[in-house]
Amino acid sequence: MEKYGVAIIGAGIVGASLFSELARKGVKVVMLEKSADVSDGSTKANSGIVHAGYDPIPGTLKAKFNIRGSQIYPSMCQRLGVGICQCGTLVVANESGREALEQLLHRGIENGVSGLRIIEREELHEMEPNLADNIDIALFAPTGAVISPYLVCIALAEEGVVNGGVAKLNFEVNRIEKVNDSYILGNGTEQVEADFVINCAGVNANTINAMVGAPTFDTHYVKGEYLLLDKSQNGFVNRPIFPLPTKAGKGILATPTLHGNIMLGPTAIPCEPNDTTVDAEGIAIIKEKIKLSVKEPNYKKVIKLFAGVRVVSGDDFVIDKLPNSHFYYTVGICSPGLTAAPAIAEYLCEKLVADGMEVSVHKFVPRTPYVTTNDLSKKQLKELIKKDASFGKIVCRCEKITEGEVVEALNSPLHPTTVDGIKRRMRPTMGRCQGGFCLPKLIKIMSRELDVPEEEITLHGNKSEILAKDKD
Amino acid sequence: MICTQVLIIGGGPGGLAAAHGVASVGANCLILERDNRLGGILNQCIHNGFGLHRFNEELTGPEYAHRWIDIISTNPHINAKLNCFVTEIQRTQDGFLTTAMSADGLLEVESKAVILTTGCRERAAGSILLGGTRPSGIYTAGCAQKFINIEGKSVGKKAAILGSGDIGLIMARRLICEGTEVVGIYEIMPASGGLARNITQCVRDFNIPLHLSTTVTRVAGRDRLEGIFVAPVNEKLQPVYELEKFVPCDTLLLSVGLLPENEILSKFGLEWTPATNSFAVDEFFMTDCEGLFLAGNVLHVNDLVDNVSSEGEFAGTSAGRYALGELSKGAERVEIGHDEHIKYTAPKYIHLDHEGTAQISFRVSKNYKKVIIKAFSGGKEVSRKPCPAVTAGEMQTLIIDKSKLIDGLYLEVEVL
Amino acid sequence: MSNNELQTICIRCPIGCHLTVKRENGEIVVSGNNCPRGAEYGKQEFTNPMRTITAVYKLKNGGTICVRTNKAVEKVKYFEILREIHSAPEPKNPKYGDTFISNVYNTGADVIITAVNKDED
Repeated sequence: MEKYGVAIIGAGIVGASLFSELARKGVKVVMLEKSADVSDGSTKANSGIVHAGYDPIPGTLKAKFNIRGSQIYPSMCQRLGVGICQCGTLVVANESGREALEQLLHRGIENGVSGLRIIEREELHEMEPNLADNIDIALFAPTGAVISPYLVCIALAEEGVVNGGVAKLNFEVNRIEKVNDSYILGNGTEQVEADFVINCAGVNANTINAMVGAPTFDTHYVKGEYLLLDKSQNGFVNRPIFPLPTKAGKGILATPTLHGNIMLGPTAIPCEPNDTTVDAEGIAIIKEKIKLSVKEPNYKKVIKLFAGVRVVSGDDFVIDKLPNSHFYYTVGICSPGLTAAPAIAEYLCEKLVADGMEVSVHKFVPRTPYVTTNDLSKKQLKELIKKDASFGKIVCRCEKITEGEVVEALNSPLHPTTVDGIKRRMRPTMGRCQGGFCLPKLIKIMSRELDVPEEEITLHGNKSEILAKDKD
Repeated sequence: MICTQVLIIGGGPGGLAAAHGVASVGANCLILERDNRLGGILNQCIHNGFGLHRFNEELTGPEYAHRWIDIISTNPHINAKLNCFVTEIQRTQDGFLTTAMSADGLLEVESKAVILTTGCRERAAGSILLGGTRPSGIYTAGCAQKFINIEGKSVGKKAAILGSGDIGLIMARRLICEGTEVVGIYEIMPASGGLARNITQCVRDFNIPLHLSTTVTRVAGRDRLEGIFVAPVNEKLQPVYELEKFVPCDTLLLSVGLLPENEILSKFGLEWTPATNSFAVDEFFMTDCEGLFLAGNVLHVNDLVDNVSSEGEFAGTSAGRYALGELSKGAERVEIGHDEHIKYTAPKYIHLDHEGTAQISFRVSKNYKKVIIKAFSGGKEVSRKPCPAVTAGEMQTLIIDKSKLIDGLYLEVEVL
Repeated sequence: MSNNELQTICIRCPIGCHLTVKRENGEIVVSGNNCPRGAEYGKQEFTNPMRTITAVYKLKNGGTICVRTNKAVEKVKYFEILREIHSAPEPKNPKYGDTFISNVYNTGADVIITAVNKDED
């Protein structure tokens, strides 16, 4: 049985942040993920925004980690070689919302957010020509940013791996046993041993806590549905546009994605832990609520519907440990969890060191960013194709992704094996035809590279095969 | 750098005919095809029914493509490059500079004229706001067609089809012939948009249930599709959720419309026509950008490949003449008017140069029995075509002798 | 569909007449047609509909051969003909236009190759 210093359960943004943090400190760390890929839960389906930090109540963990997280993100993205668009964010309102906006402004200042200011109508509509006519003012938070949440999560996990961490996919922990001073974690067929266990299991956090007799928390689950619009709508908004926040959350926003799509959502509908369905009611709510902030989006250009579930526990994050043990847990990491994750990782790392976790001298190995032909100059692209002709063979027409990039994704440190895994890394099937043209080609390449029959290639693991086996 | 008089982007039926058109006026051309062979989507349309107008024969898609490839392959004016994906078209001082990616590197082509014949793509689940989960097993009909007909793969055991246009009907038959059960075809409209022939030979021949005024409301299944929810729709085409029911299946084919694939031209600032989801052209199939032509499904979605070929050929002839400096310029360009029985015309504009003929394609707004399609200029009838029946789905064409044009051109449908 | 009446749409021209075909006193009667071609079509569909069959033959090493019958065959033999196509031996060097099966299922029709789809790139 392999022995680790730390076992992290869950490879969402919290788990992956901690994984990278620990691996970079020379800790012998393993990350166990039940899905076929990292970033498969709440992390893959959220707004992808680094929040400035004006929203959380001062003094909460949410406030503390949000602010710190938003400070970490720009340099972290640079280190990881993934994109971040530091476009700032806007909370928009009509005149009657001025007081509420000013409250937000003051809360933000109290939380330590820099650069916040109220923007008046004229300047505002110049910044964002597609705001609803009745929008008069806005709170501008220049430190707000847009990222690709799954890409950051994947990059963090890869960084962990290239720095010596071990990521085990398709490893669903169903048993944790305390043996002497360490823990044995099993999935029914395989076991790993670790001195410390950190529960970063997102919507399944209570289940994991229960395995070791740690407290379970009163949690509820909230579904957020989204509509994703084609890149032709790029520029509809230039930065995330939020309505005034309410008790229910940050409201339904319109935002550009890192790759130039427009995203509308999320709804906030109480749901079961794994209910990521998109409903007609949800779509209707988005269409209704988005009108309060922006002009009518072009719904003919919707290319994808999706939903994510966030787990909520009380008003704040729960980050704690089981007394007199080496078992730590994170529960209820809902918004602003994406922003907070690197700060939570930093915090947990400090706690673990104080708790006796072994660190060693480690020379940092930078993650190798993906070569994306879209980002190359003509000259660079010519040279690349000369070196490797597969970078001249387009697979995905809509996003202009080449065979070389697909192969590169397949050979990336986590060795993704699913169509969704390749899609999140390199974007084939992510465009306006949603794979209608490229899926047959993509599957053929995956089959060849992974050396498995095309019939065994799945969309996202488990029984999600794309093709059927012939009867004979 | 390659130089050619006319560059044709896309080697499907439109592009092949366009090449023939270019060569027929003595100009030379280059076809850039993104796939590893010519023929485009025809290659996966293995059913018969192609080419009745052009070849007086009922051919399959690949055979129809083959005929055209035979026609152009020996023509010294025509060259073709495969596996070339055009990424950029730039206007230059005296023409265009087009960049394409290929395994051989970046290909740059200088040309006097460009004809875009890139066809269309299929609407996917997102564009019809299909809710529910996101399992595997949901394909656009054309994607499934490629898997089954070209790759020899099987997409599932038990399939439902949303949309009863011709592609949906033809795929229903294909699935049955490959041993996949088809639980039903669901059509939101009160009638199928498919040809009567396909209703008979694809649906009735195999006793496939065709549910009209019914749509798929959402899909279920976490990993693989486990079933769909279907519901009848009201007169506003909204689902009646109280009557929603679950239909178990592991495969859903979407045949819910085609969209011209013309995004590469978005930066040219061309006039957009919402009725066709594409850009406006004149009777030479030229856009607002001089020397830039559109033909076939990238201009408007056609019902018959013969129309695509004839449009492509016409565009090719014009582009060839343009490249040779023979296309008359300077004549007044007027918008083609039409009455409410006509949805749109392609071309949208015509020149009053009084030379040659123009082919006007259009669709009527609903089905009519016994009509006369008439064209007027200066209050005088310049063309007429009696039709025993016209349907909203089928493309109509009218040939106009431009020497008869006085001022504008106005099309009318007289319902008898 | 009952055996003594058929409702169908004529496909001989774009008009698409709604035909009713019945057997009355031993004679086949077509109504709803506007021309003799409609009557002929209705009778054929009622007594012995004919179809051109197209199919796909899967190659062992991936890819397909697409085929069709070179003339219309009796619809009732559809699945038998498909079975004969699917279970035929794989041709060594299939080419466009080749005869894949002669006189398929004793119909007098040949099955010809309309396309060969092999992985090449």
